[in-house]
Amino acid sequence: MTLHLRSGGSALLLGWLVFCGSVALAQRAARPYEPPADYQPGIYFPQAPRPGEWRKSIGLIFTSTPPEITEEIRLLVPAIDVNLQHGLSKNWYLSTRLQTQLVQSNLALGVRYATPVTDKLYAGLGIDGVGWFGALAIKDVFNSQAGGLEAIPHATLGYRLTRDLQLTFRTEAIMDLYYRSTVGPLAVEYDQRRLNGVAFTFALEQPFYKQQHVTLGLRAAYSNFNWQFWSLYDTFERDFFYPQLFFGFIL
Amino acid sequence: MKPFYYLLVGGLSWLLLQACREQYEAPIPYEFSGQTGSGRFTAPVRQTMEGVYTVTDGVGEFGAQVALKWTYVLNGADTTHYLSIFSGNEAGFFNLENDRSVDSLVVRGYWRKLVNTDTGLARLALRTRRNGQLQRFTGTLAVGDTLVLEGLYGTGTASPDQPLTLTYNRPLNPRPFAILAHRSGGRTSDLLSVSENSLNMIRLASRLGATGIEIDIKFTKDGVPILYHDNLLNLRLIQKNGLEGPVEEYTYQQLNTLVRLVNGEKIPTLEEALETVLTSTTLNFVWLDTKYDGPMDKVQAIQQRFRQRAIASRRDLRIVIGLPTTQAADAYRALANKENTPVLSELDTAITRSLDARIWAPRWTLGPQLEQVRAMQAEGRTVFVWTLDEPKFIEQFIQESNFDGILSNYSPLVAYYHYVDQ
Amino acid sequence: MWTNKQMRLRLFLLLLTAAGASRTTHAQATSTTTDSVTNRRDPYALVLTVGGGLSYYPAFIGVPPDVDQVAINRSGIPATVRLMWHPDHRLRIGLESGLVPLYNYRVTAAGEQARVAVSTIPVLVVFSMPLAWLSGTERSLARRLSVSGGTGTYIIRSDLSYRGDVNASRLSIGWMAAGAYTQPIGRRFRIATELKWYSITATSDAVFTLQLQAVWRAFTW
Repeated sequence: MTLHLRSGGSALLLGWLVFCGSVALAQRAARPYEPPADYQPGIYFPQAPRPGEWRKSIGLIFTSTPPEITEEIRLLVPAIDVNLQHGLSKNWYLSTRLQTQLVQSNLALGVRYATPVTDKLYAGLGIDGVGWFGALAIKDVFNSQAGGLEAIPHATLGYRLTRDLQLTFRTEAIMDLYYRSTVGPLAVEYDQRRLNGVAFTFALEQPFYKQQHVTLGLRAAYSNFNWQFWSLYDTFERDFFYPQLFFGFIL
Repeated sequence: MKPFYYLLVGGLSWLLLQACREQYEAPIPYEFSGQTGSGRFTAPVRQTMEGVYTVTDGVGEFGAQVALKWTYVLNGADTTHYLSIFSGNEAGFFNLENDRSVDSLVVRGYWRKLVNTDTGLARLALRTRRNGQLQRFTGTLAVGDTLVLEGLYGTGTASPDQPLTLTYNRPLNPRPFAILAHRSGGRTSDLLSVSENSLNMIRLASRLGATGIEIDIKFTKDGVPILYHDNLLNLRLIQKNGLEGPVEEYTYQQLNTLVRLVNGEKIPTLEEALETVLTSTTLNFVWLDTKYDGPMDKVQAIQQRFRQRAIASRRDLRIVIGLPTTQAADAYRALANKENTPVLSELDTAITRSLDARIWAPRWTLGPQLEQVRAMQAEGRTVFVWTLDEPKFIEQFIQESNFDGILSNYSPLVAYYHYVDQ
Repeated sequence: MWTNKQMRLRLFLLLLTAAGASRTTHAQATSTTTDSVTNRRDPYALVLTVGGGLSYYPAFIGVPPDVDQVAINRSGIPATVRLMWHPDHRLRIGLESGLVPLYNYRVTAAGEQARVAVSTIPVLVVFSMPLAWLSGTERSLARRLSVSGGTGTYIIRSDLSYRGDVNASRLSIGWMAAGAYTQPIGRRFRIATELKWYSITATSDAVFTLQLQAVWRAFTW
């Protein structure tokens, strides 16, 4: 098993320390939880939907391509981004996320725990199981398929700046679990479990027009493998920077 | 609480910036003397040494076995010899030269892994094992003797301190197979010491295991064929200089004076590249990839001239024009005279047949295509596959497909899997 | 000690501020009550911003090797235009373009002078937010301060003059971040000053601009 910790690992560690510190501060405050008067919709903000409530969003996520892999083609690659969350209890909720470009898709299923730390500061922990799959059958070009599994544990801090604006910072560890690719009748498989990379997300959630709320954010993934570029079969054992911009309507 | 938040935001921002700013480099920790000849490594010794070796010390770093092969570059009538060791582990390879500072059969140089930035120094002595005892190799092997390369390797620029022992196991796989290096030897993004599509990369190619190269041809504004891959002047290929846009918008003189490839080389002309192949290397195949639109006659004229020179100097050298698109195929069809103009078709089998291309080269992402490959070979055509870098697929394509060669950015890895194949 | 001229200028600015604030009090009073849980839709507006100023290129400038008499200029005069939709909440969205000089240099290469000038035309989607929204009026500093971010395409122009002229261009993705202070001067007009950072991915270009902007609330519905 290869571990690529470096600065990303340090950030992850710092994220956990910050989370623990926040919880400790919350303990010191020792006040019973009262739901905020203005309950604002949010997908990233670490606050569980009310038990039984569904939260959903649809939007786009754009990923910048690293030149080592896509060479002279530098694009913001768009993907449809759908989120669905379901409250289980005051603190626990389920999350589902689908990102798709039709020929390749990524489905994440996760469970999250979120708790208020102060009136404005919230914190959460969660883990997503991720499955991705891509298939390309183009005459004289591709006869390839690939798929894989990842696990993404994450820690989240949310700050309700005012009644209308929620800031969220999330730190993720991207763990590779399994990879398989086929080219014609040939197949390769990697089932090594390793830290593939880390990601940091900064999201704003707020009303946009009338009662419509939106999510706007940046995700900075720093990883060895990115599922969206499986068909380029990059072989680098080096971490690349994948900045992502996302914008979604909370339905 | 506020200082806590400021600390949090500041700390995380700093870490994010650190992560974004990481630049990968893999500088070669060894400077080659470049002296001609091979010292005590005479031709019989070099020939005896080539083979598949079992790794005893150093398995974790370089795998259970490696392939050893000597190559040389020419400088006029002089030759400079290098020992290459190809590892199946993370596209690793060694480049070594005769150590002239000692009075024995010793090589020194560096190792590198292409998939990452790992590199280091190495120094190995050639010995024989006789009756379990290591002895100095005198140049001839007695019955029962086994060749052993024994020495040390290190990491980075540190002095070698880790044991490395290679024991001769068997000869290299003798089956003819084309190990074709992409972009004249390897991609710039693989952090080699020289730039892709440069003269220095052409000189390096055989030390990376290549028996042939693919080079990318474009034209300058004033009609000079040059080696350059991208449509635009891109920072992944050239040093920053403020010049942007299509390479075809600049004259040769402007490019030659103002533009340098990422490792400082000038953009070579096609003629300079073929001159280097012909006079400085032992490469036996050059694939001129058509990256331009328009007539092909200038490239054809250069191809024919260098083919004639190769024949005149009794060089085993095939120079073929690659046809990657229907437009390139049309440009080939439009040539007034197609005599002595071998071409390689990347298009489907029907077009390849209609062009009477002697070489067919499909994409590797279509798989082994055993039936089509056998059919084309039955018609006397050679079949290559491109551009295959994924290590496990390279292994499978060599073991389970029927191609005559592989074009790859990882020629050391193709060399390894080909030479150890039994 | 202030001179009379300085005193007059400060008084003028103070009056401008007060006038602008008084003219916008009514509109702000409405928007301070704006909240996503209410079912009311407040006015939308299209706001046009035109600005110009100075630019400075802080990033690495590569100059060809083996040249003499190198003269580099990192500053220029940018001009940009931005059209934003201001809905009834804090977040605004719009488009920005303009012409931003990046840098130029002169060198002598092989005995002949070469001149290279690089500039860009950004075509960006821009998101913007005032720092305060639900509280205060436009008299408060936080409501006049805003941050913006954007992404999109940059058209990079490169003009070479060396043994012939080349006017080439290419596209690149890129990013933008900015902070602005807006001073109300009328019901529909503002003036603003904005510090902006453009980052162009493919060419590793980055430039700061400091602009004075005229802001016109062109259409309200």
